[in-house]
Amino acid sequence: MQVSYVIRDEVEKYNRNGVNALQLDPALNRLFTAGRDSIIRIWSVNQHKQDPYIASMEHHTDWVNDIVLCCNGKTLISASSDTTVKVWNAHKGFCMSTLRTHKDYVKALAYAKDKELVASAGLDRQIFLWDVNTLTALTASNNTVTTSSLSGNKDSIYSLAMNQMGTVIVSGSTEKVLRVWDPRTCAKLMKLKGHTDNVKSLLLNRDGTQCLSGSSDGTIRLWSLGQQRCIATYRVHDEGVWALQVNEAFTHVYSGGRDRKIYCTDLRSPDIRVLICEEKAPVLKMELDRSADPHSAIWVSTTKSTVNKWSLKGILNFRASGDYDNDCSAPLTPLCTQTEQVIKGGASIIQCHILNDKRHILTKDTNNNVADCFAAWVSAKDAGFTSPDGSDPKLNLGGLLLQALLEYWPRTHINPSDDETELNHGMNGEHESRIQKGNGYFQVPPHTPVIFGEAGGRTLFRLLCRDSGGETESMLLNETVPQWVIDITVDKNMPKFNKIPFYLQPHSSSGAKTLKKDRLSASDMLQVRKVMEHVYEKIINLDSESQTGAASAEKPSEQKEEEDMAVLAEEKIELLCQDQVLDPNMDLRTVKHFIWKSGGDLTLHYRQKST
Amino acid sequence: MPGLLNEGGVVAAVVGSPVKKSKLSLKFFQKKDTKRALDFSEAPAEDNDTAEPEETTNHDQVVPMPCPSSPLTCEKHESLVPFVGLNNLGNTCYLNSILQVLYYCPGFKEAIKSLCLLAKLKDKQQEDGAKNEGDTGEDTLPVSMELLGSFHSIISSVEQLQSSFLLNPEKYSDGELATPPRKLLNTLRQLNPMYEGYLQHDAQEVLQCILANIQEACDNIKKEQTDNQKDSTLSNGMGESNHEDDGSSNGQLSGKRKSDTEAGNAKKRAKSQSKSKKNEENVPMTRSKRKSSSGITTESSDQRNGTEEKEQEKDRGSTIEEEKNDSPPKEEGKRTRRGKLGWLKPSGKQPSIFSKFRSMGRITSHVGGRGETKEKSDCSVQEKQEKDTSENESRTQEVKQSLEKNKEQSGLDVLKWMFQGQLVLRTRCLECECFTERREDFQDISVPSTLSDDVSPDPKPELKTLKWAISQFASVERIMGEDKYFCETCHHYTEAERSLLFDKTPEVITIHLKCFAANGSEMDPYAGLSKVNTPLQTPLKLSLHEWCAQPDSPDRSHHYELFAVVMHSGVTISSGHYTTCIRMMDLHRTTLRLQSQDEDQDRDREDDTKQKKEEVPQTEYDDGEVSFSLPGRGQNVARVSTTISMSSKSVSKRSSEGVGLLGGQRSITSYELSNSNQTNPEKVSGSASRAAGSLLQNTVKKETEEEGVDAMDDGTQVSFDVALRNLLDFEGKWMLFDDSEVRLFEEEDFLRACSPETCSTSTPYLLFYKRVSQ
Repeated sequence: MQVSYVIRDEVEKYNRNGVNALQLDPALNRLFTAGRDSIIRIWSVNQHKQDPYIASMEHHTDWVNDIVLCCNGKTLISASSDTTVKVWNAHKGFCMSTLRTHKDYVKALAYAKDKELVASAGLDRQIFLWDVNTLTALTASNNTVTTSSLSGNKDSIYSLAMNQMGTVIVSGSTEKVLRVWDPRTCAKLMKLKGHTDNVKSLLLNRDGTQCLSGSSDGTIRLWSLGQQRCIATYRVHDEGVWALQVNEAFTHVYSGGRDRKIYCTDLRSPDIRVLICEEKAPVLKMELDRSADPHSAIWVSTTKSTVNKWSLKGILNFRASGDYDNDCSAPLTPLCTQTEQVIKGGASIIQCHILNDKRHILTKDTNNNVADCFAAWVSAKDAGFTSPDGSDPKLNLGGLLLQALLEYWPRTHINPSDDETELNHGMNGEHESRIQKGNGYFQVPPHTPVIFGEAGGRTLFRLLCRDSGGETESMLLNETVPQWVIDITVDKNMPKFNKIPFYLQPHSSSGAKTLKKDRLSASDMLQVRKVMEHVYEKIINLDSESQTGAASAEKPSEQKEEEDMAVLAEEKIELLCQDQVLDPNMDLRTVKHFIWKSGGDLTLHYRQKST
Repeated sequence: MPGLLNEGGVVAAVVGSPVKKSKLSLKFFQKKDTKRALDFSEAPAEDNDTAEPEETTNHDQVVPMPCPSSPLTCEKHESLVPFVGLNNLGNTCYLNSILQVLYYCPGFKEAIKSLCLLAKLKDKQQEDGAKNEGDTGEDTLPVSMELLGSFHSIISSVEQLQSSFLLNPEKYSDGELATPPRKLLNTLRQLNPMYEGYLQHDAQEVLQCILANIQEACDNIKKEQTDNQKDSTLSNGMGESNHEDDGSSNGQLSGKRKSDTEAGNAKKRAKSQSKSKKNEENVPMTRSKRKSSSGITTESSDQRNGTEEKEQEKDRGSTIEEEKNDSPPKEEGKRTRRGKLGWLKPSGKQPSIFSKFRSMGRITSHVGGRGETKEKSDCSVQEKQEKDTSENESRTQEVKQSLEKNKEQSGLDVLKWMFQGQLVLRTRCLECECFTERREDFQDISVPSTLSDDVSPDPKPELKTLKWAISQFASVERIMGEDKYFCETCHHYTEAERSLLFDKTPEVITIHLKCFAANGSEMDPYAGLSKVNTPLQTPLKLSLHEWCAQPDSPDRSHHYELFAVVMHSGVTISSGHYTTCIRMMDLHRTTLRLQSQDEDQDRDREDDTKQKKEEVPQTEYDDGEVSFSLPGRGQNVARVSTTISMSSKSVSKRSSEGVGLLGGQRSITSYELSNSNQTNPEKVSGSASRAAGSLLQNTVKKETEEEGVDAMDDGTQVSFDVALRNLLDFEGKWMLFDDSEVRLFEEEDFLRACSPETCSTSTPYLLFYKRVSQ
């Protein structure tokens, strides 16, 4: 069980990574983008608006791989690599329910408009069928849903398609074959062989008699389900075909893929193909603007965060002129060189490095900006906090952070020293002012998402920091928060300092006799400086005292000695580990992990400085 | 460990009473009722001394007398085939089978010869250097070079024995045609003391050990050469002075050694013992103990050998005796040292990317010597460079390389070229479809010979083919589920596909059929490996096309044909018997040579007086010989006088060069001879096939003259072409080599033996395929 949180702005207005899926709501002129930054965003595609951003739908914790808009744009269903399928109110942008039936990334969704039926499929080789009306009716109390599953796939499913009537469903997988079912009976209909690589994109015509498939082998194939065979193969791309769109009449296919190019190919005469545009990155998804017929534009998303709209108007002139570029050997010139509209994306963090002090994280984004973040253990002084009593208590920043993250959770508002009655008062809110919230040092921004997940990465629960006070949320927290978090946040028991054993020995160069091996033990947070003080005080001084009695004569006052001890120690001696001189600021844990490195007890050597 | 126990026993026996020991073993073998000819001359007390002189000489090859069959071989051979067997030196069939394969492996023999030539030159230089510096020189010869030398001597023995048989079949009318690979076995034992004693070993391991060490020798030579190049740029006219140095230092050397034999032996032994004791502190206890004790045994036995020889050879020429006396102590010094080196060397397989496949029995990667890692990285760098340059260019380079075998450098890489291929491990992200590649060299392919329970659910487990086995090895694997692949392009955990393909295929593909399966019930590490007797169908032809990263091309086809099979009969890895089936190919290239030739070659360098004595025959036929051994090392292929080459351009070219260089200067007679008789190099370069016979006769005559010196019987001569014709009858036939016994194996019999249908305990263990050019 692990707890993680996201350091971010309250509103993330730009896609931060590639966009895996697109859906247009023609009625409201809205575009939904499903991002690899785990956020589904709603955009206004109204040209005149200055800022197209409308809202974010945040609840996934990993890539959103596919989305479908159902119920005439009222409901959105999303599939994510966090293994869940979520049902959203598309108009208001909140998550209505989460389906956790898949056991691996959910890669593809398919939608049959006539029946309001949605199918989801993923790397767990499973296909589940969902009745959208049932899904939207789910509430917190009535949260069971029956689903039928289609089994038989031998490999991970990467693409899925269902015809509008909901009579045929096709899946594409790394098995390289298309498998066809009847979603009404869940009966296997056929297996279509022909592709030589993964099938990444599928389309079915309205009545489910024809199927188009785009594969990593670089081909597009047209299949006749009636004849159960491939009736045409189109080789228009140099590399894998990842996205397909087709007109209603099933005569022209738009295709995009790894080679970044988007072509329009006439299915009846494959020689007639038009290069529409060339993107800057591999094409992940396309969405035809079907508001006009013939289609006037196509939205394209890539592995970059920007989403472009390309005009298809030129294609009309192209067709009208009859001047097809039939010579496939010559490189085609793209129809469009300018995008019609752009939804700008932001930079994404592409590299991160946790610094050795475990408190800072260096990150690098796609714009090559480097930033650092903050985490884990720290001593209060180092962190810049002033503690009320002026002392330098050792703080567990991780613990503090946990407390801060859950500071709105009512359960954490209990002061452990309070007795039962006070607790009740506290719950009534009367004594709220007296209750110490959080950790007393710092707060995290309330919009910070907190994610509880299994160690493997599967998300159990995600909430915003500020929402933990809510009724449902706190109830769910009670269910999911692991005991070790409760220890810290509710019972205020910080984890104990780890003690590590170590040996102190004179360095071989000093010529001193090896002392009796005393096994020492100290907190692993102990700074090397303190060990040096110890050495100076207990060993060197003793030695010198016994040898030269004069040294004791000029013994200064006790208090002064204590203050000076550290300074003196640092002046006179140095500590070595594996023959490496240690920085007095280093703590023992660091020494053990980065210098000692080997197993067994840490051994430190000391020697007097040779000045 | 049973191995250790046994070892201890052997050592004790040797130290205590050797005679008893060998008797014991004999009994042991009798009990086992093997038909193998046993030759226990390895034991200190020699039962059978006839072949001994040959064994201990350093460079010289003396044709062993027709190896008298040991008392146990009572089988009568009705007709001997003109192929030489190898005597069993006490469960050494694992070694014999591998040696036979290597001997008949196309190009291998030649490669060893040319390497040896390079190495011997090198040794001399090294000794010179050592003389100048001090006397550490004797100890510096690495054991891998020693292996090269031993291998060369076994090749020479076999060749001479074969020639001798072909020319005088009557001499061998009874008994058998075999030579003991004793020197090689000794070297092997220094390399890895595991081979001490008389236990059965894994043939595949021995093969890897031999190849890795010869490769190491190549690297040594290469290193030496680059050093020398630096030297030669520093000093001009080095060649001349160098040669002079040779003479003088030789004198010094022998003088010093002589004193060693007389007085220094005991001292030396003590020294080496203390050395090994010192060593004990550094290496793990048990091992070092074993090592030191075994070191001593070899040494003492050697010494005894030396003294025995001394006595025996008093009858012979005094010059020879001197030589013999020189060599044993020299070797001793090396031995102790070498034992150590053997330990320092990583004996096993190094971790590689394919280690994960090993559990499935998929691959054994190149077994490395000390220079291994370096060599590998070199190789990969080279690989990258090749990739950078256009493919055509690299191709032509490769072709050139194969053609220019005479060039020194390629001679050093020939082993890699022959046995080492390259695999490419390609990992492709299924999300972005980017892939990363890793390359690794391989020397053999280990394939499973049985279905493991979980592998293939397909209901066709019958008739497992080699193709199936290789596809098991080279299959595509998916990285998915819980352990996804972190794609650097996607910055995400994704599914990925990992495929293993052949990037470069070697000339000879070695396939190791994993037929030993660990038996869960028994914990004994040796006995527990019981054999799975479900052999695969062994095809005579093999195409690796479908697993190759690069397409088939005319000069590097992916088509192979079977030329040798090592068979194993028996039930466990520690018992049973190895035999080898080899298909005879390119017999027309066989070098028929007579005993004096090689000797002369060595004497040329080592003994000036002797050379003078034989001056007349020497200059007469040795026009090619002398000329190449000095300026153009490594041109062993151009054994002009006796190699019958039908179409080898390089040979003819070289030979004419040789004539051009020396014909006028040194051997006018031979030059005239070649002109008048239309013989020798020009003959070869001209119309070889037409008048090959006359050439042969010519050479035979010439050598007959020469043989007179060595008192060979003229009466038993058979003309060369008849001999050759006899030999060529076997072209394309399968021969079964069962230690000292060699017999014809009809192809159908052979196929039946390899077939899974036959219920036999004898199953194919190692398959050797050679590339077929299309």
